[in-house]
Amino acid sequence: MQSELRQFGKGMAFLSPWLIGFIVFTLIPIGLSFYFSLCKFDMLQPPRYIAAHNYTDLLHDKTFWQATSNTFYYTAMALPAGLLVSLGLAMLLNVEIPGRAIWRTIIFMPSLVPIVASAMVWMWMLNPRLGLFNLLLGRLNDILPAKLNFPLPPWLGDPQWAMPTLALMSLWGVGNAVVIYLAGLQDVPVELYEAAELDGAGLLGRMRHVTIPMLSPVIFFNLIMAIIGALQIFDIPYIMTNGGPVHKTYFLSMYLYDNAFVYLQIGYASAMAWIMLVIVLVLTGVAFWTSSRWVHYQGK
Amino acid sequence: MILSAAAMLAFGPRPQMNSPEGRVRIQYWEKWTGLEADQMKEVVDAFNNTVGKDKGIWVDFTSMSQIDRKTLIATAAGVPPDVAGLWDTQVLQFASMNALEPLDNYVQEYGLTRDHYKHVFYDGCEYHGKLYAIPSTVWCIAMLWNKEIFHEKAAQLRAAGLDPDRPPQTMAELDKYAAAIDTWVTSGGSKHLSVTGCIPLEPGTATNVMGYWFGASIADPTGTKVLINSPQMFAAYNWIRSYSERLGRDSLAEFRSGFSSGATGMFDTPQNPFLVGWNAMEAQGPWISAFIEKLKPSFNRWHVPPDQLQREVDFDKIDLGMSLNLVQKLLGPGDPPSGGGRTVAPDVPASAQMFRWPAGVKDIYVTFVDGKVSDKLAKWLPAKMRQQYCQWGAAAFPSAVPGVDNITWAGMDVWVIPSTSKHKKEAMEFIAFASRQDQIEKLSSEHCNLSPLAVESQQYKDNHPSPYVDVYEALAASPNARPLPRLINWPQIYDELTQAAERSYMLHGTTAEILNEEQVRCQKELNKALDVPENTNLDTQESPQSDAK
Repeated sequence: MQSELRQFGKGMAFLSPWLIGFIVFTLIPIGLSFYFSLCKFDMLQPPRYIAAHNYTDLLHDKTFWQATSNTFYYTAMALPAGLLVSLGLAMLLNVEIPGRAIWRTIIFMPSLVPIVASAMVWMWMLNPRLGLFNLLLGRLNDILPAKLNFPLPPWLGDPQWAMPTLALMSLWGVGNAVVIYLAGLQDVPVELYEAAELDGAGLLGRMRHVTIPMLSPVIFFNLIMAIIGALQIFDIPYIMTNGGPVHKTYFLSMYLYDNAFVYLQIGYASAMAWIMLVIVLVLTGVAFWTSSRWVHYQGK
Repeated sequence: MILSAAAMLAFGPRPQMNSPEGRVRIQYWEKWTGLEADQMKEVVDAFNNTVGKDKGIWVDFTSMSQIDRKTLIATAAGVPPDVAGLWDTQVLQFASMNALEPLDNYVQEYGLTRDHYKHVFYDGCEYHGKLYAIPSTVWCIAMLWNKEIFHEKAAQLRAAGLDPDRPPQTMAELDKYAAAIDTWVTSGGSKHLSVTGCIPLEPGTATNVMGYWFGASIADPTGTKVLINSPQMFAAYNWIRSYSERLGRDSLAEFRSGFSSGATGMFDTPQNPFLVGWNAMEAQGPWISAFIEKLKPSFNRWHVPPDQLQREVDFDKIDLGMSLNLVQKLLGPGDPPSGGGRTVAPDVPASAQMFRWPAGVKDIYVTFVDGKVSDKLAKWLPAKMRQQYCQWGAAAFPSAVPGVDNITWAGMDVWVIPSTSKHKKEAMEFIAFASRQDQIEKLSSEHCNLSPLAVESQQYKDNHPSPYVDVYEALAASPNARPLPRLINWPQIYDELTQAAERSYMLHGTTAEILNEEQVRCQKELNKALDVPENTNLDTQESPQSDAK
């Protein structure tokens, strides 16, 4: 018994640096943020308990609903697009082609570019009058018959275009997901493809019955990461649109930030953070709940 | 994490303890970065070497971003800086949270009274009758107009009964000038704007206080009631809307989305629409002169004779030790020598000769000793004389209120002493030094802003980088100069008004819908900030406005 206790003590001693860090820098702040969400708190005056007032206020806050709906709208576009494009790119890069390593590097490279730098470059590329996109579209229009001409969108300057533009831009950073898919693809046993081929499966058949099921744990992981990432989007719209035009790219995380650090309503912002957490939990929960039907682990 | 933190504390960098022993060390945090921070550092050094030395005070200067948040957090934690350089936006917000020290008891000793300052700036630092900040460098808003576009459009302006040699003086006139200047081109079978006379949201610096030019107050003087749907605000937002209706929302959006200012917030770029010549008139602060000189120097050298322009370029080729003949070959004969050297060079012998060459907006002075260059200087002409060479002009932004002229929004950077500072008296000593006329005028000029003081020196007015400093200073001193609304949650109301302006510009809802909605929302937020219980009737609602004209 004594030696067990000693062992436990030793274990805790080795664990304590992480444990103390976790308690001080994560657990206590999480607990405090929940308490603050029930308070009026501006950082300087002591928090004053107001029960669920912040939460009921949020229910009647039009900007909160708009930011929430914008966040869902973006997630609905960026999430499937990101998953499909990254999976497609990974499959293409998994094929034996000349210069495969170079292609892989090129696809991954945008993930290494600092977000602010890539945002600035994209702002230039999307500039409706001087940007690369509209310049190329304009050139294309010159050679196409008038009936087939493309519209030259105002991209980030138009309420209808701004959000799809951000979703489109999010594809720029799929390199990380591609690398994870590629690692997963390397793990698919060749025998399964050979067996499927013997059974008469073509390219699509092999993809449907071998690749996708074998890759499903990786797809699941990327899905969860993408849900969290999309719901927390902040930096790119903050730099590129600052929420505009007319709040069409104003996300929940931006409203939270403004309330916490610009309006100094820490309690209100904490309530928003908890709602955001609940949304993330519900969506990831749904993903986990459905995973038993479509995620196949090797060895099971 | 804890081990790393412990290692950093044990072996990490230490603050440089280079202050002389025995001095009280005070911390000064400032939002200015880069060149502006360097210029402020010169003031700090001057203090440390003079008054600070005499009175035993040493100022540690730290330049940082997001200073408002950092100051607040540090104040809450009880380890604030002793002096913080904030924006006027934070004065009421922080004062209402008891984060700032009232300065009334400190300033009398230094003569920093209301009359020492242009009243608008002093008043902007007060909250509930107490002074919580001292203005540092300040600014106000004027209208810039592109003289060249006015000349190119002279025929159209005259046809509309307007004078192309002066800017508009009333809001009605501004609209007429703008309509006469607007230019369309046809490409790809459709019409596109190529030049606009004016775009209310461009560059956006004063959009949220645009109501001032229509006689509006955004809040009542007590700061307990927002007045967002008043008839005057209604007129202001209808004005913003009228440009989208006249030019077409989509055309205007397409045209404006090519700018690098406005929605994206930056005007420090060669694509600034005013500098490029896409937009002929806009509301701007004095700092624009610094950007013009950096991004489009030709804008300041309009109609300068080519030989004088060349001289300004050739100035860089003059090296010390170069002979008089060579210099004259380069610059021409020059004005006869006036004898003596530059007054700033006391070691120049009496035999020295100084020649002067006019070089457009500058005068070139070269001092020769024994026929060789010993010193050279390219000195700006006095600001007022530079105006003749400006391709742009600055004037009061036109008023929509008959008989009320010189309306402007006067904004400022400020110095504050956090309430939990441990060296308040010493902090005030430093602020008083930095507020001295010689120091504040030097700093304001270098930052291309204005002086907050009621009286400016002639040297400041002559040497200021903005040729139109006189216009801006007069506007700031005008009785119709207005500070930010007296609201403790102004940052939040500011964002709401930005939305309202953007919705008006995008024609998202009628003006009545937008402003009535904002009135309710902003009043609710203000009540929340003021801790007014929800069921309290403060008579805070303006009568809802309707769109019927």
